[in-house]
Amino acid sequence: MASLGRFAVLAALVLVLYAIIAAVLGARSRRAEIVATAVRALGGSAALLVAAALVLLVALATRDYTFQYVAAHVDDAQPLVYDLTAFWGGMEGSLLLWALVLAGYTLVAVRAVGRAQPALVSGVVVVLAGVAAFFLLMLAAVASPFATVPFPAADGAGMNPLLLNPWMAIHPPTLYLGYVGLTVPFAIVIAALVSGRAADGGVLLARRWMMWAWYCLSMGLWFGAKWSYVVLGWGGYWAWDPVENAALMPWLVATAFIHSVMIQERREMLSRWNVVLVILAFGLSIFGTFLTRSGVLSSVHSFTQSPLGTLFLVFLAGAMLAAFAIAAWRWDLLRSRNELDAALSRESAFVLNNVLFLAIAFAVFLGTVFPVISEVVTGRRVNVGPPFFDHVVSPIAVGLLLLMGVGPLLAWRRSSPEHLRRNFLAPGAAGVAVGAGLLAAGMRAPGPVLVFALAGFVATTIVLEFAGGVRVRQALRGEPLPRALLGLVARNRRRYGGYIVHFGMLLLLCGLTGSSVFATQRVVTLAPGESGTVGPYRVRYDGLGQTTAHGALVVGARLHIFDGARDDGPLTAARNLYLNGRDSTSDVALRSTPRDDLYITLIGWAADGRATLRLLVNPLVLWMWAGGFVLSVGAIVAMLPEARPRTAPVTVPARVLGTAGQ
Amino acid sequence: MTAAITLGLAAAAAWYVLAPLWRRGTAPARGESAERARLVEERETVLRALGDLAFDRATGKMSDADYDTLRGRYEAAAIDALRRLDALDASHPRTGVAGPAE
Repeated sequence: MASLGRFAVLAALVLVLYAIIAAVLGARSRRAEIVATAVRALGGSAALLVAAALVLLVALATRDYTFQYVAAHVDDAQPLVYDLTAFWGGMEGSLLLWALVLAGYTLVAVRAVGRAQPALVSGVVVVLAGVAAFFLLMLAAVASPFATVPFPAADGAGMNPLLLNPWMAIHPPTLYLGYVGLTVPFAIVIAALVSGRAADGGVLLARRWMMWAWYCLSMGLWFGAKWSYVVLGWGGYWAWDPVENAALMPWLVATAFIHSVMIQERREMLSRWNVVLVILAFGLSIFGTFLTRSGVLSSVHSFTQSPLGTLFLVFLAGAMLAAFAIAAWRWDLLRSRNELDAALSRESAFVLNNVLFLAIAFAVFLGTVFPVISEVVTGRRVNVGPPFFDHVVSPIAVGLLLLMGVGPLLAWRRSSPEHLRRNFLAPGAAGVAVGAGLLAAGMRAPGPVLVFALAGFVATTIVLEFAGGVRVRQALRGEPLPRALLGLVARNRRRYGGYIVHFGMLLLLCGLTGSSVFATQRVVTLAPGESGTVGPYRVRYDGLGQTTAHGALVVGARLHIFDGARDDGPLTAARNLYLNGRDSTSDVALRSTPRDDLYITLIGWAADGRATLRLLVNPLVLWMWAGGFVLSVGAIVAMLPEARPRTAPVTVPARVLGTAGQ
Repeated sequence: MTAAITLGLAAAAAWYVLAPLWRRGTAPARGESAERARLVEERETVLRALGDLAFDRATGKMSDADYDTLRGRYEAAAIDALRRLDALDASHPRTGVAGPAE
């Protein structure tokens, strides 16, 4: 079995190396049949990787402890579903998943590019096969999941208990779909640059792939935050951990690209900027993989220290040098064909939005690598911690929130100040009303008041955008409201899908602000029958219980919750003590409402039955998860292909016909 | 036995991958010329611009004066792009070329 896996990986490596050589030779000799063999080699490589993945899955499911990887990540007490998710629970398996996802993307991308721009196929094959070759080389020579031992142990070590959770089962693969997905736009852009077509549709062809990768990264970050919240037991969902930051940075750059590529579509401007963003996003995805596998920075998420880190760094440096050298070579071809018509335009807002996104990405990068920089320069490792990120990122994020509201009020190309003033009135008044209402209600923290007021402003602009579009459609077609609304979104999926994404971001930001600024907590030690209070809640402790499950002794504190005078029923906060000596984990007692979350962790207990509990009230957290859901819906709407208009609605006056083309 | 299976698989893979080399009459990987791709993109950009202008004016974001000025400019650009595209297609008739992706 293991030898079959090793053979499949090795053969896949041979095939992708052949694909690189054949694609280069085919492109140079202009012989399509040679390029076709390269494409087939990639298909063969994908099939072999599927076989390798099946070998590993069977070994995990049957608990074949002759595989070192299985022995390290599975044990007899582990539920079968987590035996299977152990596929990506360790470094070697996660590399195989990476190669497998890349192989799948490669097949789809080569086919799509072949239909749209056949001239780019050979270049796309070379880049995608080049990246695949690196990962397959790692799998074959450095971190094989098919290594075996001659005398297998009777039982395995099992996965880290923190990973035994449904959110962790879907978080890594979703994130990988995003990380690996960034390779495809990178390949398309590099191929377009080499062939001299980057400004002629190459970058635009990359747009849809970038959108997909962005969506997967968004969902991966969302699932990861949810996992952190319900599993780690610290009451938060984001800690500016290096590995979290590693996923956030390419997301920020991809978000900037999704906005700036609209200017390239409309104005044939910013081609250079967009090329740089695509290269950076790919580079940051590899940088994230390096961070997770190098052990250079400590993180709750990272794998153990390994020689892979250095190899990833060398690969990253080589890829970035080559990519920027190619971009520099084609710099002149990427020259903008137009200029801004006016400073007061949506294009200007998008340019500013890009600057802010990149500023956040740079701040996050700096904060993440600062421990390494400080160690190199001063010999002492200095961590900057969450306060640095909060202080630097928060004001820039507020600027982005403001732009999210101002952008839709501006026309493409040129806005007149009087129209902007008029359109600004209703959303501005809504924002002021929200801010004044919060001040009147006693909220005194300026940051949250500003954020919620801006959220009111932005939400109103979004509603007015939908209302304005519906009004125009009703005036033109006389459609009833529901049909006009559906027709509006269906005909302009990217525009209105984008607004739905913005609305999701608003909910997310409100939840984030509420829970990070207004959280309250208490640590109480209670005897059975005693109660502790936190915020509007009273928590009665009814005693301890214990049971066993999946190789763990589960000690649970039985609680009863009262919200004011209302009886909210029982909850249990538990701690899992693993019989094989691994770290204990928490089962959080969580009661979630739109107003707030009551979040209780069992910290400790005594022989006399007293329990120490951490009681935490997190306002508005539910809106964060709701925001993620709305964002997902908006992204799906935006990604659906738009129908091409049957005819262009252009009326050409005779005077223009007489002068055009002269 | 294992060696025989491995050899068999390798031979099958080689046959599958190299098969296009032995096919006769494989069509060359042709696409739109770079010039045509650029003109098509230019046409799409200008038509999109005209749509944006009409929508922004109808939703009250653009003044009538700005709309008239910009519309005239983009209409002229649209006609120019269409004429150059027609001229290119007339001089180089297209055969078996894939359409634009999106």
